Amino acid sequence: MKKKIAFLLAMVLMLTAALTGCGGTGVSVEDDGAEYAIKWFSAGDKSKDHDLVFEEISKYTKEKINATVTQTLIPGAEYGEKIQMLLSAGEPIDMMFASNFPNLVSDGIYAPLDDLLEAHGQDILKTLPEYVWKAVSVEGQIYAVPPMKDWAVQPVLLYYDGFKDKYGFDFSNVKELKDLEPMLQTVKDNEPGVSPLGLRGAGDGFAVFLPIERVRNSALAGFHTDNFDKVINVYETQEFKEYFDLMRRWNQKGFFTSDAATATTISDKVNAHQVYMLTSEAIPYFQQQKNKMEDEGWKTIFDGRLSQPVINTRAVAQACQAITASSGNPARTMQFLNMLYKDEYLMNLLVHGIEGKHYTKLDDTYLRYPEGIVNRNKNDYFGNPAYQGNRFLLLLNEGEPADLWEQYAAFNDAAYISPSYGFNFDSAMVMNELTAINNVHSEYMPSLFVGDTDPAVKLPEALEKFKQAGSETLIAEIQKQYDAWKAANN
Amino acid sequence: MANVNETVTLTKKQMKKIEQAESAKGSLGKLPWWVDTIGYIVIVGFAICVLFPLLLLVMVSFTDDVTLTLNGYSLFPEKFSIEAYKYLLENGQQIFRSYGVTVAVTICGTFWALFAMTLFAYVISRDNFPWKSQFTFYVFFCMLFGGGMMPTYMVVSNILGLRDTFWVLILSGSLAPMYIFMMRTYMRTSVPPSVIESASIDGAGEWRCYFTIMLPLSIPMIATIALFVAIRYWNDWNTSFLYIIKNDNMVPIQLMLKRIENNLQYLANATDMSAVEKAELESTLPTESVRMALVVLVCAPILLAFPFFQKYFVKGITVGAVKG
Amino acid sequence: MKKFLKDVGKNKTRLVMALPALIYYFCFNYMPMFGLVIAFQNFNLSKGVFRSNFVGLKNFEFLFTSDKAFIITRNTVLYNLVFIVLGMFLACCLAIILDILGRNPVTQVSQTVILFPQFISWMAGSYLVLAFLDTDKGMLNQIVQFFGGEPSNWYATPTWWPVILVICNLWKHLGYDSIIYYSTIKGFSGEYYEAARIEGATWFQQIRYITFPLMKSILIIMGILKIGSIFASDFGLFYLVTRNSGPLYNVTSTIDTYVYNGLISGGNQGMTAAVGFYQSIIGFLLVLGTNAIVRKVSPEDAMF
Repeated sequence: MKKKIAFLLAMVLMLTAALTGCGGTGVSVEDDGAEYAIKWFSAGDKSKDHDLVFEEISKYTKEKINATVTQTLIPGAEYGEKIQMLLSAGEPIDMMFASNFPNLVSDGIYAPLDDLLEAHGQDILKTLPEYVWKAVSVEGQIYAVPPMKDWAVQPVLLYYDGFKDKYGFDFSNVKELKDLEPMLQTVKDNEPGVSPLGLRGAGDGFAVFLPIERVRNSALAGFHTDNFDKVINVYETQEFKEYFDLMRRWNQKGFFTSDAATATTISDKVNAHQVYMLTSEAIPYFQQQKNKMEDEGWKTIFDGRLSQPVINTRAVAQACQAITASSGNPARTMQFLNMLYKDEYLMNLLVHGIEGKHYTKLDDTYLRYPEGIVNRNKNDYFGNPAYQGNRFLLLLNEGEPADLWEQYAAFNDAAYISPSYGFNFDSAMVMNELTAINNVHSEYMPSLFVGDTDPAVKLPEALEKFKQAGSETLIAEIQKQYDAWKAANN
Repeated sequence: MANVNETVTLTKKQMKKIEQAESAKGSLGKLPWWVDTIGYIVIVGFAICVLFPLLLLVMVSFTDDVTLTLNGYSLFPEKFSIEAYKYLLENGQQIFRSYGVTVAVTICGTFWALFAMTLFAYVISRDNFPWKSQFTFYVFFCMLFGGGMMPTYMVVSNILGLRDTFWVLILSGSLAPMYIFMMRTYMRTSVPPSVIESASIDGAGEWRCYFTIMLPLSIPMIATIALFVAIRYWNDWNTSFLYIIKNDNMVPIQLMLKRIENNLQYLANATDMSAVEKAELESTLPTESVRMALVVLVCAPILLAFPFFQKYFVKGITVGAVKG
Repeated sequence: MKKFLKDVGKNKTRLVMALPALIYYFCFNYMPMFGLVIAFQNFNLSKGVFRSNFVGLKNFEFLFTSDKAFIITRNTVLYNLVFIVLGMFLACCLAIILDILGRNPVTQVSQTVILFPQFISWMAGSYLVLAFLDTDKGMLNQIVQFFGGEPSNWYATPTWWPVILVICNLWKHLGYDSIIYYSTIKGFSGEYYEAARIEGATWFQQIRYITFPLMKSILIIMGILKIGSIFASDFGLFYLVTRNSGPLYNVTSTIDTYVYNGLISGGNQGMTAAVGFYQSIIGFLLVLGTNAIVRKVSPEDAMF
């Protein structure tokens, strides 16, 4: 009997060893050179000629690095949920859109990339500025590769210019949000059918102009820009209190669209000129925006009076590609990724499609889409340049300034780097609190943000609910992680 | 076998009787006029309440987009437009394919589900089947316990290898324990055991008993369950949402609708998206009237086909209930 | 053993007949059940089900600690109770009215129409609700404004949602339920009524003393069956119809939507599995209890 038990124990131990043994940390940088099929999962909507373009890409990469590439696109809205399913089901994935960045790192999904980048990703290292790596590192190891693009973010006010001359508005005195009130009042009084303020619900609304920076993946915790040492509940700040009061006042004056707290879309109202002012984000060349709003008389305030361009963790880490720890050939996958940062032909193929079919090349800088294609994403092929590779290698659309990419680079350079830049919060330990807090947030905040409810009553109530949901635990945990991160990085 | 036929005709007679009972004036006999009037008001009123939102939806899908933004939803829009349907037709490849998938899945799935469920119900409805209660419990247990979403996903896609196939749309969630029990109860109570016994004595095998006696006698119940099963298949978006990832040829029409809904939710809730990205995503969404038109296309076949089923359907439930 | 083999031999054909369903349930229900262990794990994606660490009952904690837990449980149970009680009562009334009026073109068309909603998924149904409640374009606000009222943002006003949800549920299920009861009434022998009429009973007395008592048993059975699933909510109704609107959470979140929102915002598989497990256990006990009662009330309707 004893023998039997001993034997069983030994078996269990061996099995455990066999099962856990394969989870080693090192990822091989060696490449055997044999043909390899790279399986890439990314976020986005699949266009009609997607498979065709990837056949073309595979032909090219086969020649260059002896590898073929297939890309599976999952709609952005479903990506987080579905990739979890796929990963748990053991789907073979080599490269993937790195959603939910720090959490999946602690789950051991992503391969550490330092050695791989050194061995096979020299062009990536050369292209991307040094500072980006901070945002995608955990404990000193790089886990994802951001695309080369405009990282700086700058919230702006967008307004319909047609009223400026009509009512003689002067924006030069506008220094804070509340300075806008007279103009909004004028629009409200004189333009029936137009709401002075338009908002897409559940967003940050006009609070983007407050001197507050949130920790990524946490709506509640953040920093006051005066003090980057202390993690706080941002809704307890004086700024937010005043902001909510202001919004309440504006709401009672009828400045908002009636469905501001819950609207999911705003563009139909914008197109019908039913709103006067909304928030957006600056990008160097405004017409890049699909709706070509500037043509229709929309202007922005983004000369830095209301907000400064800033580079923060969210902007850099939100749309990266990562190589999985379970990849069959991480080295080759990195070689392919590397090509996306230096190979103009490949990059244009990936984003614009096949030349002569999806676009015609006019000269070395410009391209033209086929007749009748107004929106790029209505073309038969459409790759999202914000998610992958080096955007600066792309051909430009007709009408865009030839130095657009230089403008982008200058925009990045002009931005200041947030002191908290590079800090990623791993929420695995406080999942229960976070779930509860998110629920409270969705319940109270959309209404407060647009002044639907009285902040004198509802704000203290919300803060109390946050406490009950564990906001203090959450903030303490973030503070702990933040201090550790700071100690390691400074 | 003569015995059997006799019983069949007898049941037919029973059904006729029920029909007659149904066609007679209400069972309470002659009523005061105001009771009748109130009755009609209530029933017709409720029918209108039910129909009204559907009508509104149809009208919205025929409304011009600008009129929609300016005037709101209305039963009598100022400006009609068939733009939404034109848009759907022009971008229709995916829609036609999706329609095809949905129709094929509904038809094949209904046949499979009915086949497997009636067979199983037949077996556990036989009194002399020795493992009757074990088999029943085996199915009943599934009514309440499952492995949950992710483990099921792992089994279906890894072990069974069904992801991105037609079969997963047919199989996943296809056999509902509830219907098996309804079927079993019906077979046990409405089909006299003596009929099958005498057939067995006459030398008919199990398959023969099943096909020539049990199935014909259970038609009202089968029709009722068939309708439910078919509608479940038609309305099922969850299966395709989970299991159709790479194969665009297998996207049913409900999943198309679900994706639009998802994007709207995403716009509202995503914290990680910049305003520009949100604007971009918004520009890819179909307009309001197109969304409504899509909903109309999703609902229309069921509503148009239903009246043809209805005769069977009501009779199915009626006979099912009369059993006692 | 010998008897077993003999039984197998005797029931060969029947076993083959049962096979498709047996295999189906094995593959789609029993095989994934290993995953129930996730409810007790700190589930790690790369480690998978077999190697993740066990954390005992930690995943269940949130169900019993946060005050949200009370709210979502209250919502789930109360809504279901209202749906059951009100739904059954109104369905009975409709059924009796249908029976009173007898069969004629008007009632036949009405019968068809009131069955429609049962066949429309909430995915599509949510758009119907939107057509009424949309703040700018919705029918309801147009009506309110027509009478000089102030339009309100319905998707941000929790006050009315309990009523709206009940109406939606009734809209969808009332017609079907009433047809079930109607057919039950049709099944009663007409002799009772005739005898009653000869005795001089009025129509109301017939309903009161014949129809109601006869329906009692089916009502009890239907009710008890529905109570078995009282801890599971109609996800489509509470998630899609409410458009998952945050300001409404206090009155609209149920166990299912709460967990789903937690899952998509952060992805905690352990918690999801724990809730599923909890619902299964409660449901299982309720159904077993239910079945025991049903067996007492009317043995032939018991499931096993």
